[in-house]
Amino acid sequence: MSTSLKTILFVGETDDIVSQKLRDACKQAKYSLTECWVERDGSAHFSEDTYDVILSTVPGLFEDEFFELDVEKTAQLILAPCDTQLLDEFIGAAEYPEKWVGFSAAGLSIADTAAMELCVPTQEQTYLARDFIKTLGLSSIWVPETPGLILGRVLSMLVKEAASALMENTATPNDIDTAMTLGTNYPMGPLKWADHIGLDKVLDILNHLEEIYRDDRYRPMLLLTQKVMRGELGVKTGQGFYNYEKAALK
Amino acid sequence: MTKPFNRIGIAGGGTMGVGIAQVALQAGYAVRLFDVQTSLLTEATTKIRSGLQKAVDKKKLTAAEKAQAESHLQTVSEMTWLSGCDLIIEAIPETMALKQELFTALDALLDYGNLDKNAVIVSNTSSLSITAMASMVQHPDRFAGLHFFNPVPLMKLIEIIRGQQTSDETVERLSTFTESIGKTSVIAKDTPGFIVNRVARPFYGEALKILGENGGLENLELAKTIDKVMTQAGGFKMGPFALMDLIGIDVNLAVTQSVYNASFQEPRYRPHPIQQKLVDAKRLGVKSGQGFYEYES
Repeated sequence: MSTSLKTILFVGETDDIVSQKLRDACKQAKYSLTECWVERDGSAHFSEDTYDVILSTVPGLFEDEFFELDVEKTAQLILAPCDTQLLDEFIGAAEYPEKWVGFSAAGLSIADTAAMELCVPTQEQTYLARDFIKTLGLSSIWVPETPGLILGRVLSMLVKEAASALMENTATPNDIDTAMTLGTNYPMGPLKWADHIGLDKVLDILNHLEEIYRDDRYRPMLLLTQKVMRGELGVKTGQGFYNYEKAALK
Repeated sequence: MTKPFNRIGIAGGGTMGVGIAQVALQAGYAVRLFDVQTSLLTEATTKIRSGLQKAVDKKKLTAAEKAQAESHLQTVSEMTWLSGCDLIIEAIPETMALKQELFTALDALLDYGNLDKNAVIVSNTSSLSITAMASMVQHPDRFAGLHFFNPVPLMKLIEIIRGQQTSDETVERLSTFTESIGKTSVIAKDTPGFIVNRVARPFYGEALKILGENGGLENLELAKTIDKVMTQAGGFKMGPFALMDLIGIDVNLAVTQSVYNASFQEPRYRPHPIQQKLVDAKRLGVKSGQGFYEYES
């Protein structure tokens, strides 16, 4: 455990696998951990307190209420999720922008030891963030501030393309995923990956990219939008591109 | 399993033709390899033999099996010799005009009675329209795409492509054939890029876009970072830039252009200027010693 950082406020989204894995990593690193769980698109509410580190997978934490408290003042490191929001957007209202670090842990959706991406505005925060993440048993990679950061963005576009092929009936979901794992050695088929990460998460990233770039290139495929509307979000709801209910009942 | 075909004909003695011949021979099929250039045929025979030897070294084949496999290989420089085959695999260069010429000639040649009355013709094309090629033959129900991946002996996947008129029976036979040579098939409709070359486009496209927006070729450190993210955060075996170097930046660009054009210029498939620039500079990747990365010769 880092000597200067002792207490963490962790804010995660319910049923979200990346949130769960991050929380587990914080727990096993034996920090003094305060957990706050939020529904999708929800806002986080918590009582004022002092935390060394704020780690949130929920962008909704950092709204007006957050800045009315003194948490920003007393924290040493604030990790904000940049899968669907630019770091710039977070720190627009910040009084201590130098404490903020943007991150994405999208890789945790299929591998417990996946590296995290960090985008860091200052040199000092670079080392602080890296060392903190090391105590969680994870490695980190510095990336420039780019919408969706890197993995989430590429993955979402792969899912979109796979969904597009599915929509056109080019092949079955199984054949699409088999083709990508056997033909190009992807670690997991894009449709199965989407089910793991959550179709809602994929849709959020595509919407974010489309909004920031104002480019049609990122528009979600209709099939994806419809599935999210119907609540077919993947593993966490028992149905995504594949069905998981039978397996769960066993 | 009863073999779905008796004799495999392969048109084209290049890399793909050689690889396909090897796996078919290894599975016990009689193979007739056709190419107009006899020098290429000699080279092909040498490569097939050395490929079979590698299989022996890896204990996939006994020496006796290798000898038998080699005895089942015939190389021919006259296309008429393909008439004794009931599965003909086209593996010639990716030019529609050349392929159409071949299929028209093959079609005229094939004896649709007797042994060959159930002959199937397939194309190994990765990008051209199966339906367009099928329209050159009398029996489009017995025409399909059979897309192998390079290197053929190693890559387990085969895409079976249905043309508009390909019959279920033809797909079934090709599926059985795939299994008989130890590979796994998926079935795709005849659409731009089929499955693999279409779904893979953003793997390169988004990476190039991120690089282009952050300094481009003046910031190759970012290319390395992107590869690092895709491998260490994403779990991919190779990152997009290292993979482009391995495949050949020119080859990757050609596939991208092909999918882009076949889709009537769907914008998200558009090739990136960075790719063109590297090709212009003859920095094609591993094969030219330099691409996004540098390679020691």
